[in-house]
Amino acid sequence: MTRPPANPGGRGRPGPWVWLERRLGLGEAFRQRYLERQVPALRGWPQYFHRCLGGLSLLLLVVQLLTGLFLLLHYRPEPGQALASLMRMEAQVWGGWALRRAHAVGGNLLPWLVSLHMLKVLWRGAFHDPRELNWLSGALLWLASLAMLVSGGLLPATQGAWRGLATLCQALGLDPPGLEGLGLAHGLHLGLPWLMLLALWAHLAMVRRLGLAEPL
Amino acid sequence: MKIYDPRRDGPLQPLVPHGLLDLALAGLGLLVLLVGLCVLAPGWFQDPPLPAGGAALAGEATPAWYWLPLLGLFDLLPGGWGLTLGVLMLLALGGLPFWRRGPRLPARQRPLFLKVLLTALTLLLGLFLWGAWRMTA
Repeated sequence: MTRPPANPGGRGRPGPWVWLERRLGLGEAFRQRYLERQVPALRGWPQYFHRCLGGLSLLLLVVQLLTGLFLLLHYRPEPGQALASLMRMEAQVWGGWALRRAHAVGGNLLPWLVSLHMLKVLWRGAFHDPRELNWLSGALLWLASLAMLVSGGLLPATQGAWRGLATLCQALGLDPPGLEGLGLAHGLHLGLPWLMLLALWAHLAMVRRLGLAEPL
Repeated sequence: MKIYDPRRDGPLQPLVPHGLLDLALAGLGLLVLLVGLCVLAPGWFQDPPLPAGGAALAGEATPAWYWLPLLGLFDLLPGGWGLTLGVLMLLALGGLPFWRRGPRLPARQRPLFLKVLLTALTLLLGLFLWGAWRMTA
């Protein structure tokens, strides 16, 4: 590592940044980790889609987290209040309609994007030694994105999601849950993002450690 | 093992700013798609509310799309068999990198893997269609 000169200008005492950098080396570490990092170049417009699937999934996850935080401020997970609280938010908050729609559409797109990313990894054979844990953390993210979609779909208490759950319970010989299950769905929907963030951190840390097999 | 081979996988470029700009452009396309779907198809993913009392089975709505493969699976293999097959499929997905340890090879150079992959995808699509047909028939 190149150490910054103690007195770069040759005059007076070194500035506070130079003093700190000589002791911590944070700027140097940042330069080596990010500024000098090489990633595969994209050639042609189609590659902006099919070679960026992982990065696009990450971006959509961020959109989901931000819009979800906004919805969390207004949503009430109580039977009779769930959909009403969202409708009230749409009527009273400027842009609320757009954010709710973006959250719903984005939640439905996310598992598809992650699935396409996984298919690309399968097609290119990029899950092999030494990337087994990348694959496992990615599969966990895929499952979590589906679980988020299922739990989030139940929250507005509309027919499509609840009918699916009731039919599945019937097929398994269980009693179909009532709307008192909203609290559980809400808890899952709030808890799963933490699992996703943990899996995402592990996934990105391993991508950083082992290098990219594919563009972002 | 060579992780990334520029001769095989294309040239490299700096992450800052080139790589980030590429990702920003791709992200812009995604955001345009998201906004376009929200504005042009406002009815997508919006179901009617549950009837009073929350009787989910009383409604006539088709289950949301993500339930359909599971419903198709449990329709064909009721009870424990469907559950067992579902768990086995998930375990196979997770255990994929441990199935054949070795150097990275694209799927087109591995005929057996390609056949298994295509069979699994066809099975998934079949379950999806079967579930959709059973729920709307």
